[in-house]
Amino acid sequence: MTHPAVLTENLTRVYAARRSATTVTALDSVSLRIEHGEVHGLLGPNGAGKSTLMKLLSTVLLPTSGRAEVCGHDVVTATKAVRPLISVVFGGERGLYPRLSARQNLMYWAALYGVCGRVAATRVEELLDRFDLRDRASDRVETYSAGMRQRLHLARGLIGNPRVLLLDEPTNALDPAAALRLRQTITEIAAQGRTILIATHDMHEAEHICDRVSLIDHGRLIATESPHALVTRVQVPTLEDAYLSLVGPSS
Amino acid sequence: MSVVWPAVRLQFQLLRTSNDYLLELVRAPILGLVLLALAAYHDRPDLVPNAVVAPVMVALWGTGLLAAGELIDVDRELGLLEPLIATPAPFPSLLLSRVAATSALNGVVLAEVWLVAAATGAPISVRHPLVFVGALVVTAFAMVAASLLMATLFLATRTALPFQNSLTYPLLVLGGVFVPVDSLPGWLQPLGRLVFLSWSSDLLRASLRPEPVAQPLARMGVVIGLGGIALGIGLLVLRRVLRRVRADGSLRLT
Ligand SMILES: Nc1ncnc2c1ncn2[C@@H]1O[C@H](COP(=O)(O)OP(=O)(O)OP(=O)(O)O)[C@@H](O)[C@H]1O
Ligand SMILES: [Mg+2]
Repeated sequence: MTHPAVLTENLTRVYAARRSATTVTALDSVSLRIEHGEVHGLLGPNGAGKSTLMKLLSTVLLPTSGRAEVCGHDVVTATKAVRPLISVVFGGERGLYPRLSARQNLMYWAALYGVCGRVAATRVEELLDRFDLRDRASDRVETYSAGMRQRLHLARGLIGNPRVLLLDEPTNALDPAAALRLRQTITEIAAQGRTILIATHDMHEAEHICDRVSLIDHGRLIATESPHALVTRVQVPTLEDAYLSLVGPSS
Repeated sequence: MSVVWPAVRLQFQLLRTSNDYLLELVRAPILGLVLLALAAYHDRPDLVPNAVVAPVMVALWGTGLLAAGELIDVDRELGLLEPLIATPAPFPSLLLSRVAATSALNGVVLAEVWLVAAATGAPISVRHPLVFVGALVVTAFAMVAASLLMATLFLATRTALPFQNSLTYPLLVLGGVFVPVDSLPGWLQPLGRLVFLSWSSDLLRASLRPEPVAQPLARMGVVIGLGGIALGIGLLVLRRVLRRVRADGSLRLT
């Protein structure tokens, strides 16, 4: 494949505030190229524009200027081609029907990606097994722990067999052991050739699972390189130190 | 690619966990009982069709409005709207299928009201079965179309509740659900004729009366026509609204 998994060129998004003339430039001329099979971390303080980038790539938000491609398809003009290739997973409680079971949630989501009938049932059971949810698959999601819910989120993200998985803070509610397992899973998913874009505030996590990271601040891309290269360049011991020295301790 | 059946199945699964819709199933037979008692007390067997049709139409409008508001609101609150739009599934088909699934509840309401009428010994029978069934079918279609239009309205304005509250009773009166539109003040009548509920209510009541039904096909045609207009506008507006929320980033609740 000659097209990268994700390509952005001067991607810019400006939000107009409601009932006022002020605007917020959430993403400012970001150019980024992410190859297939890469785990790419998005780092940056609150409000840096990480989620905005995810939304632009997942076609739920339109850019103000610049462009973005997923596997060579433009997110604005070729929306129909992009949607089957991507999947978004947001962290936390949201994104599932709490009164339905894991199996019911997954079956519905499979259908949304055009996966139906026996194929869907097989894939759902595989994912339930893989994410250790089989025993509780018929229970209502509202009775799940945060960790189980997070795993279900990831299973939901994979149900459509996406080429590119967008994970927005997927480990923010997990205990250290659960977060570790999730990281291992993310690495496995990438090993299957899928591309993962992961927004996180956990520098330790980013250092361990990301092939490369992008540092964003105030909508601007201030660095894109491997965690190791970044640490070496800034001449600090850890990625967290590199982050703090580039973004500043408070912003 | 068909999302119709999965969406219908999902809606049934959700309905089983929702008390709001259950309320309609409880309210309808009670309302029927009250209206039938009124007709019996005043010794007006000619009003029995009104007493039977009204609770069914009230439930129909109630569940339709509830579905229109809920589907969007609940999905948005659960953070489902954005990931949903990001899937390849056609959003309008999803909405239509789920609204249609909800309207199946009205079959239960109809059975309930009928049982109440039978239990109280009210003189009721379907005199014109074809008109009765035809009216039910076109009414279901028009209601699904109206729900889609309202759901689109709610998506655009981001608030369903005030609309739901203010659309409930005025439309039931305008729609001649309790008393025919013909008995409304003259200046209101043309307005009432724009609401499919008025044509549906008249047809259903007429099918329960012994007199021959005048121009049944034409009147069903009007219901289909009004439903078709709502569907057309709904789909058109929905496309624009979906485009707009992507442009201004207002898909999320916060
Ligand atoms: N729908 C919206 N309307 C107006 N402004 C918005 C909207 N969404 C985001 N913003 C603004 O855009 C900027 C970037 O927000 P974004 O959510 O992309 O940041 P983030 O990097 O994901 O932050 P966090 O780490 O807190 O999740 C912020 O200033 C935010 O207030
Ligand atoms: Mg964010």
